[in-house]
Amino acid sequence: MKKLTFIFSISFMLAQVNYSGEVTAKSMTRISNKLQINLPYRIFSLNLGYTLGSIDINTVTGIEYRNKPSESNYVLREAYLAYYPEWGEVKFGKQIHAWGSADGNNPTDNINPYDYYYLFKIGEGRKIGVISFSTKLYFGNANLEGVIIPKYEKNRFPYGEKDFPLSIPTEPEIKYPVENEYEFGFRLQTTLGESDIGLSLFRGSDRAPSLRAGNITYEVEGGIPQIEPLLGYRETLVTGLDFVTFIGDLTLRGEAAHFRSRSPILKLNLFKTPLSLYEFQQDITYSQYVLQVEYTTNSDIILSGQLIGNSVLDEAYEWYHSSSIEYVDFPSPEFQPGMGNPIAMFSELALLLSSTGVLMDDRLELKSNIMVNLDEKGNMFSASIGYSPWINWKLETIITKFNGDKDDLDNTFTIMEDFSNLSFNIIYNF
Amino acid sequence: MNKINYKLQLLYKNKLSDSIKLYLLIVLSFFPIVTNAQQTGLSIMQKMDQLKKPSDSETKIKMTLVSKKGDKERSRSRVLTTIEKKYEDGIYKLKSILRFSEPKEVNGTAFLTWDRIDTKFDDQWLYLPALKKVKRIRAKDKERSFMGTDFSYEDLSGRDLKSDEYELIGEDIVHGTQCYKINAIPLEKGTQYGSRLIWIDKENFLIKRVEFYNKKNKQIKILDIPYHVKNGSYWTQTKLVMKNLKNGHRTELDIIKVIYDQGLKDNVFTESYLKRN
Amino acid sequence: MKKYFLIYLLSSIIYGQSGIEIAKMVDTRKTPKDQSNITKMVLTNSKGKQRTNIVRSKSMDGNKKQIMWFMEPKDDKGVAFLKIENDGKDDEMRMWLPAFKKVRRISSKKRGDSFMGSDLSYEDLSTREIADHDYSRLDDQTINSKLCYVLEIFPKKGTNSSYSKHISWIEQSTLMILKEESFDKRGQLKKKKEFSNKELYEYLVMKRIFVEDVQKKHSTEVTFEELKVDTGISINLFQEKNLKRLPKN
Repeated sequence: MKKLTFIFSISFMLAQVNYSGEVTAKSMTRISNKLQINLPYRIFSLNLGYTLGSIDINTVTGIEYRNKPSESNYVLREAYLAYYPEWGEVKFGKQIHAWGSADGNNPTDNINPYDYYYLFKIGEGRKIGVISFSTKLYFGNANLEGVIIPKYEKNRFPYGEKDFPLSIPTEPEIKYPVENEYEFGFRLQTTLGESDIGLSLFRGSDRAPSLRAGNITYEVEGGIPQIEPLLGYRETLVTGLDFVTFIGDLTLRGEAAHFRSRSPILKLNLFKTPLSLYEFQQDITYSQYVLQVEYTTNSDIILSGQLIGNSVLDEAYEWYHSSSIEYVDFPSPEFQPGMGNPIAMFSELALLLSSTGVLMDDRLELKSNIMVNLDEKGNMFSASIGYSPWINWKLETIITKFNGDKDDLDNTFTIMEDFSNLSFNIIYNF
Repeated sequence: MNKINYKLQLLYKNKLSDSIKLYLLIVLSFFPIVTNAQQTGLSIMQKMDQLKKPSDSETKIKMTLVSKKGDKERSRSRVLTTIEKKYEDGIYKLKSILRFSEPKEVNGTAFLTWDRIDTKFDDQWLYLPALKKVKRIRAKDKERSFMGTDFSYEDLSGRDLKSDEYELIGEDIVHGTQCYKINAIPLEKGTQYGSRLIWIDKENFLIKRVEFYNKKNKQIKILDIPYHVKNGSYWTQTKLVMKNLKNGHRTELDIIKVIYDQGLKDNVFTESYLKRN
Repeated sequence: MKKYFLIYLLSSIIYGQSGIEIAKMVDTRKTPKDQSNITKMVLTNSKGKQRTNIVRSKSMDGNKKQIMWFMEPKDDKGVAFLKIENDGKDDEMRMWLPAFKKVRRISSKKRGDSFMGSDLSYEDLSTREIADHDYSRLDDQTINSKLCYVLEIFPKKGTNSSYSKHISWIEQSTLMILKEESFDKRGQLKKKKEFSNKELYEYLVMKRIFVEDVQKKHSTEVTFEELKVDTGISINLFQEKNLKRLPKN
């Protein structure tokens, strides 16, 4: 025992420790009524890594804080072991993956669920870590990655969050949680000429619930049926293509993903199945894509334009009586995708223009974004100024404005209008 | 003036001499006369559009949905009633409400359309009592299937004549009738279709068939209207079949009963009325 | 008498060399097989305010393969950059961004861009190909009591350069570049560069670069610390996967 402790402490001492982190103070004010928007945010974030030879142990932890009522939650976002042999990488643990070549909007990147509290943060900040085993092989110009996820994780929605405009009052009960939790994916990337091309495949359960069955009763004989919805998760197979290529001074990035979502078979006990139970089976094919053009000016201003699209290709559904397998003719609710780019809920075709520039030796950072819905009225505009008075400190002011269609109350941008806000952040990096 | 009168009198009284025949030919060639054989695509479509329509109508329809699984066909049927009223308020030309009564699963499901005169997407609402929802159908939903049928929301909205460019491309016999064959190409973006081929009966200017092509020029649907019956002064379609060529699915509509000009009230065609039985 | 004759002979040999020959000599002088250092970059603006960046860097094949990890400022920490220059093809440049957990391939085309906001551009940092430039020789000059060859270097038409010419002062005894003035496409003086060297084993390596952008009134001082050469860096280091972890040394 003593020997073991001794070996451990020596190896710890020999291990190289590296860390980085961030402390943030944030305040968000609604533009319409000048009142504070009370949502949780990450007040503290720490990346800690121990390196011993070819092995790294990494953790990402944080504290999520809310102003009113004052509460803080400790979050372990990632904790994994990574081994780096000559031929590649092997990682095991709770981790965040990132696939795809475009920036910020990635239809082919579906391994990690999204945390909708951080929907407007691009990058790993809006993803939830999953316990997974991944291997990446590097050979020549190419690499092949395989991921297995033994434990299913779903999106985090802000239920009952009055200040979040798209919120649902209570978390719905999931009658049929995910049974086949195993999810897996592959991605092959290679360089052809001047381009990097990636092909990917991922199979998993939807990260958002959908209607799976219903308890159906008739209030009066011959009257209107009443459906008590019972929720579950569809299984989805995603095949993706992504690329980066260069044409002159322009960088072109693109991703396209094809999704096939199907209701999984329910394992029901035939003797306990109530007569009012009707199952709803869906078989839906949809696709999403992003096409991005990026240009850096001589003064280092990065300009980027993205065309983001999604469409339902084929929608088939069936209702049938669970006990008798008799097909019945109930209607179908509107289809909502359970995977893919979260922007799909805002628009089926949108144009996103962004610009980023730094001035004064990195002391001043200016960013602006505008997302315009092309198939209906609606847009979102945001601009931010980040000033760094001393090294490692940043003061940030961000304005975000949603504009919808006053004649269309179902339009997502219209619903978000009241969320237009002004945000002040003080950030310290260490 | 006298000289012309004299020439005309000659025409009537005498046989036409060669010189006068030649004179007439020259004059006539500068003034082409539109005969029946020189219809344009647009004029045919206009004649179709101007057929006498009732001020309101109530139609009971049997809807059959036929799906194909390999070789086997499976069908299911529904019964619905549509009431329509003509409008001349400068914004809408027609308002209609469709309500399912059978089977009991879809009983009470209703669909309200306000057909606009202009080329903008019509106002449509779908009421699903079983899900306790009224859904406003928007332009981006136009391609989606209506209640699992082969009709999309766009198919159920009236397409204004100003939305397409029409070209008469020939003649054909369809459902035993001589028809004009017209190619309709959209003038604006707001449609899921790349083009349509329309067959219009030469005698009565009724639509007999429409072939729908997608934006890649692939034929995706066919609508056949094989039977029309004249009820008093109105022509009525008695059977419609919409076939989806992609999956072999088809929707058949058989008209069971029609009542015209009952003097229907306006309040029936409102969103609030939609939710009542 | 003999002394002067020898010097004369030597000088005639040297005078016999054209600009391109000297450039070739510079190009073929002994450079380490691999190199590693900690690069510290201090940016000073026209008001005298300073900003410091620290990068740990490793390179081999005369800077044709480069990998670097950003250490400071702290919000850049974790960002890493890999550059592989290919003959005939465009350079491959990839960045690891911890905020995205992604390796991002970036364009190598923008040669005018300043590297990390410094007065050095990507072009300034890349190898200058002899075949892409024309050379002519000016009169020798002495700087800091060191006798120098003075070359005028003109990028050939068709090369992707943001400069119209450079004047380089090359120390004759060491063949190390001591000073350079670079002129923009309008022929105006744009950058003044000063270089200091250090002896490391049988090599002379760059120890300090000072670049002043006279048009922007801004300067960058780059110092290379913890310089190590020929440590046997493996070619496998210059791979995407190594962007994600800091090396031990």
